[in-house]
Amino acid sequence: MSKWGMVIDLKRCMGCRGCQSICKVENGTQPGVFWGRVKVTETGAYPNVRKLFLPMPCMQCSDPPCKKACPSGATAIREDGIVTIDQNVCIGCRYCMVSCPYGSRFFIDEIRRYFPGHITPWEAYHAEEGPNTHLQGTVEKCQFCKHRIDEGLRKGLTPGVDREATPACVNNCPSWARTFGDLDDPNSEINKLIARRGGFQLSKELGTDPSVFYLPP
Amino acid sequence: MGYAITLKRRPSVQFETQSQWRILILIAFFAGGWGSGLWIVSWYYDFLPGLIAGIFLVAVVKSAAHIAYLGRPERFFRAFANPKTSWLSRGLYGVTVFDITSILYVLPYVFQGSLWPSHSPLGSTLGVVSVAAAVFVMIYTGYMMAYSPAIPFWNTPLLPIAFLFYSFEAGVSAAVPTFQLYSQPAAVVEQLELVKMVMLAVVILTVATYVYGATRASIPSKEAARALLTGRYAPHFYIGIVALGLVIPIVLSGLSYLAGQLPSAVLIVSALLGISGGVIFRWVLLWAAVYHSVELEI
Repeated sequence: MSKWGMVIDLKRCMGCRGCQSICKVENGTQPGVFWGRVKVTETGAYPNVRKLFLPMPCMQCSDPPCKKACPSGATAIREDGIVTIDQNVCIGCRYCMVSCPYGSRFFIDEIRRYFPGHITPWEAYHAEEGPNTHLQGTVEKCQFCKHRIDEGLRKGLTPGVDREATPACVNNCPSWARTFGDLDDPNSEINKLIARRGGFQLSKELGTDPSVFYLPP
Repeated sequence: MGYAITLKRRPSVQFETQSQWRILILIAFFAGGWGSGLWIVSWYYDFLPGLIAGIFLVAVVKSAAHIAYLGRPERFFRAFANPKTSWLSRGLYGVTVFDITSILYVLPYVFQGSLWPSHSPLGSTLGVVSVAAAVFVMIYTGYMMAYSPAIPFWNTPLLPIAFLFYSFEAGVSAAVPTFQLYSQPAAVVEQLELVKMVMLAVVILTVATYVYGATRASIPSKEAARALLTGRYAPHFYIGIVALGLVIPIVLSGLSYLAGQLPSAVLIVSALLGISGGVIFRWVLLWAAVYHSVELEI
């Protein structure tokens, strides 16, 4: 069984936020919700200081604190390593949100539209037949575009290789900063990148074992 | 919500403050602890008004506040699903056991002559189980918060202990003037004053150790402690928690114990101050907490 992971090259990331935007397009998230957000930080010590962009999807941890915290079992981890939330089970206690060290989760306190009083065709599509359920009073997050992965696998495609089966943020990155693939395949592109460039996980000391690796800036 | 600070040798770090658990969670956590503490004291002294007040605080106030907080309150029963790993789920079981056993324990007092005698084996068993459940209710919210790896300020084993002691102190504080108002024996009130003094002293030590530990922990934890000691929540800490919530009550308790019982009004004020100190402690824990910052690793 594959274990999906992602590598983000901080040297290549230029902070265009194309990943952030396409995630919204693909997943229909409402204003204020950014499943694939990009943090801006600074690194180095004076005088060698520079700005750094840190894309942060859900880390899809192998030992997710959110899953342990969830009282209702709405948060689950698939065999392929993707951590999912079932909106029809979530009770909105937000215990997962105070447990997540990466701030990957978002609470939908109310359904908001981009143009109050008007629903765009894109919003209507996502509300009626889109790949995700956005339910008021529940928590949601990045799920590695599992609908694309599942559909692609059904068609015999390879996630990370075939664009149709790959998360939208990976496809949309203009500087090819993101790579997607199977962490359980030692010959996969992401494993080669991690080995060659010294890929690291964020907050490894917390024991969450994220499936998202970063290449040093 | 968040803010940035400049650390030595680093340009700046953006901290995100905890903003999800706020007023309703504060009410739920505090009411549960207070009610449980009051239950234990009242059970020991066989004091019916205290027993009923304890049940009301846990079964009604705490439960209502927590259910009202949920994004989907109609699904609250789903929280029973994961006691294996979730402290929230475990807490719900504990609260449920408390609610059932405490109500069954009190029923013979209310419906005299019917049901089982309160000091029968069944009644005694219900009492003991309800006390055990009350202890769990006092402490589990501390474990809930301490579990979070995302908030270093909470992630310490001292937090459940602080909650346990504060909850028991709140229960004793409420019991002192109540016992006096209901004309309980002076010796009992005196005994409670002694217990209250001891608990306040224990809470002072626990809070001091907790805050000291936070100043020696990771940067986000230090930042939260800084907010408490010299920052935005310093007035809450020094005035609300230390002066009004701990020092004044312990002085008044000492006077009452050593020099003879003070007037009811003074005891009531002392109780309210002690209890409000517990509220403010939980308040600053929730409001001052900042999330672990991944930017510190880059």
